[in-house]
Amino acid sequence: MSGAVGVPASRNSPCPCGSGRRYKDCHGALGAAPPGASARPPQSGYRAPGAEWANLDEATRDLLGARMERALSMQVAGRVDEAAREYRAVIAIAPDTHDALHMLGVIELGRGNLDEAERLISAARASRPPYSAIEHNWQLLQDARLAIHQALPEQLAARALPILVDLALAPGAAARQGSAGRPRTAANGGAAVHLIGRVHAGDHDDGSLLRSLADLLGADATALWATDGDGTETIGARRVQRIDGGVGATPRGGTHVFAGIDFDGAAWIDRADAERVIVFCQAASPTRYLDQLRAIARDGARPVELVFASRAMAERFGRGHSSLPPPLDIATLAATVASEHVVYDDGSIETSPAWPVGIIGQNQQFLSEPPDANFVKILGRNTGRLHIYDPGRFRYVLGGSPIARFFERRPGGLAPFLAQLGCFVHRTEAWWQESAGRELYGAMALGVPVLCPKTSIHAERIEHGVDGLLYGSSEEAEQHLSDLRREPALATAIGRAGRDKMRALLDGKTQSRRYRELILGTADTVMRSA
Amino acid sequence: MSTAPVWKTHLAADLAFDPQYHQNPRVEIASFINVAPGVVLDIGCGGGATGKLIKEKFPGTRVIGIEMNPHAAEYARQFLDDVVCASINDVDLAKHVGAVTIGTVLLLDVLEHLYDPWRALARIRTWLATGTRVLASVPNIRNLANLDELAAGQWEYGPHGVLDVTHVRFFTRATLRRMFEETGYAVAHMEALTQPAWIDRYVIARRPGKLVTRNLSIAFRNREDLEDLYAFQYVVDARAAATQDIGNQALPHVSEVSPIV
Repeated sequence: MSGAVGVPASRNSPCPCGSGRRYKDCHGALGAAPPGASARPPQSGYRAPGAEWANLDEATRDLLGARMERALSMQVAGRVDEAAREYRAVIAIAPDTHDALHMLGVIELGRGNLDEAERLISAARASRPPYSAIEHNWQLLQDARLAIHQALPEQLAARALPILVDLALAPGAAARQGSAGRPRTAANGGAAVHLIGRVHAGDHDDGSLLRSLADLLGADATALWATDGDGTETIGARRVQRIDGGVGATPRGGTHVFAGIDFDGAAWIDRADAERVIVFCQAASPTRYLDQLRAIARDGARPVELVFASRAMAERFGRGHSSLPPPLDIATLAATVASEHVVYDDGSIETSPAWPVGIIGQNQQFLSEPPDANFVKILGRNTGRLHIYDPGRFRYVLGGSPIARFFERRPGGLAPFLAQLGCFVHRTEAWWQESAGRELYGAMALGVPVLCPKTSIHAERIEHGVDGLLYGSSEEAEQHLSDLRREPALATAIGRAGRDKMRALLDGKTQSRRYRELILGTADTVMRSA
Repeated sequence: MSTAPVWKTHLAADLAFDPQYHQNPRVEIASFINVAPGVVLDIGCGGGATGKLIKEKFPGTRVIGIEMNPHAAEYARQFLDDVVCASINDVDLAKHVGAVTIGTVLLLDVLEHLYDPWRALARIRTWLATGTRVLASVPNIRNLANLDELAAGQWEYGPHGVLDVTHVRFFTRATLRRMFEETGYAVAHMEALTQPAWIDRYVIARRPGKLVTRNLSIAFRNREDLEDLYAFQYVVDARAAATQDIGNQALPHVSEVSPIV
């Protein structure tokens, strides 16, 4: 098989190597050796380790590497049929490609083809020492055999992530890709720190991020950019410019700070030419936006630094990423509460004398059925009153229940909702869908005792029995709830300790210093804060 | 297909009582009632299932139903305190139930069946004290399934759903809000009721800020916008506004045509 890459009709056409990049940015890049020449840098980041591809020439490795990258990104995007085709093509040429065998096995497992899945995954397992992702998938396969239970394709796709992130996004990946890079300077008419996000995204996790970061960075954010709005919006006294790829109104040079990436950047994002790129992934897991991240990373000129809400989350995406608690303005939170619950003061909800247990209904996954409805019913069973904020599909499950009260999401509604609770119960279904933790930390900041799952990405910020309670099962949660209710002194002590911890962690000055250090500091500072 | 078209089967003047259609308790609507609702006026109460549910959630609640289908109205009488069998255009509340202070009005899947929902809302407003709560559910014509099918040239009425063959008016979030505001109400909250399983069947790809179906690619600006595309209905939570002159306002003249007969 020849690794030669042809020349397309236009330099703007997709590169024939299948990398997804334009020809001019890939094999046709200025300074790149002409197709077929031997002395050119590798054009795809992926390389099978060890002896897997030892007998292939460099051009073939490039081609297969590109196919692997494409397959992984398709798989994560849920396009499993296309991904499977790519993996099969790789295996046809290089039958020992561990990652291809593993991931194709995962796809077959998702399709319920258990025999084929077992053949593929066991072949993959035989070729490398055990590691957690493949052992977990092997276990899923065994579970599937036992219970005829098929894990969600989405869950399975997510397991492809560590591999993909390692090769495409982790710091250092750019150097490995060997791109010549394009020199940019802040003096090139650009600002030093560009803060980019959405200005009309509501009060959800991602919606608050741009405004919070603008506040925390103050004048150090030299330009504010929105991917929505009409360019007349302001944050404080500062104007937010509208990004428009069509007329070249895009951030240039300097550090680009993305406050989330849940927006359509197709028209400009691969032309943004930052010296340094920081993406805040606190609100939305990058599992949903890998294509966007890859577009940001595309020219290979610099690594993309990801910032997560917790260390546990950061570690899932490879080495070197940072974690910071979500920007949460506890002073405003407390002030909202002090204003006597005006948000719901329109007679639509009763003030409860009971000891309500509170949950958030939708979290990040507002378009799904509540998978843990039974658990939530259990929470209400012994406490007598269950309060649900932003209930979503819980309206269908518990709408008629005499003990359930439903708080629709309103601007400024979270704080008064949290403040009247006897206890707040944080729930998680899947790590990549977990919220930034604003609700959990907000409850703690308001002195409400909290329960948090041991598996939560936020569990690391809770000291069990001191400033919160960790639970591993619904029975355990139920036990904790009855303990808290039976011993008001315990509830008060935990609430107080939680409040003190959050006051220290989320104090405005401390937060501002941490965020500024991360964004303005050197790489060394970044690693230290990780 | 051998099934008779819906216009033959579902537009008959003498509609039979269909338990599936008239007896379905709206659990999700009960979730919007979080405080004792006062006297409930359930307009289009069907078989009375939702009123029954509210009486269970808040014992002692008085529920008055209005229902034009005589079979459904008769059935509802076993659950509700009063049931008036009449069209909303004909009912004279004072004559039928005497002087009563309404606490909450329910208009569940009613307005889209009326030729002139504006006039009906303005009329209901005259029965209410300022601040009275009105909870309405109305289908969302801007759901992604509908947009996709329209893009492919389809607008197929069915026996139920957003394109129920008995629907004569269609709304989006914005036009629904405006209808309430123009007829004497203040909208406190609107919530999209989503049906992910139904809409997801149409989605073949997701991109940041964008959904792709077989026939179209549509951008959404934020989470509310995305919710709108997934919503089959909106719940409008409104209050009778303090507008003094709403009753005197010249309403556009339209002939009173009953859509069903």
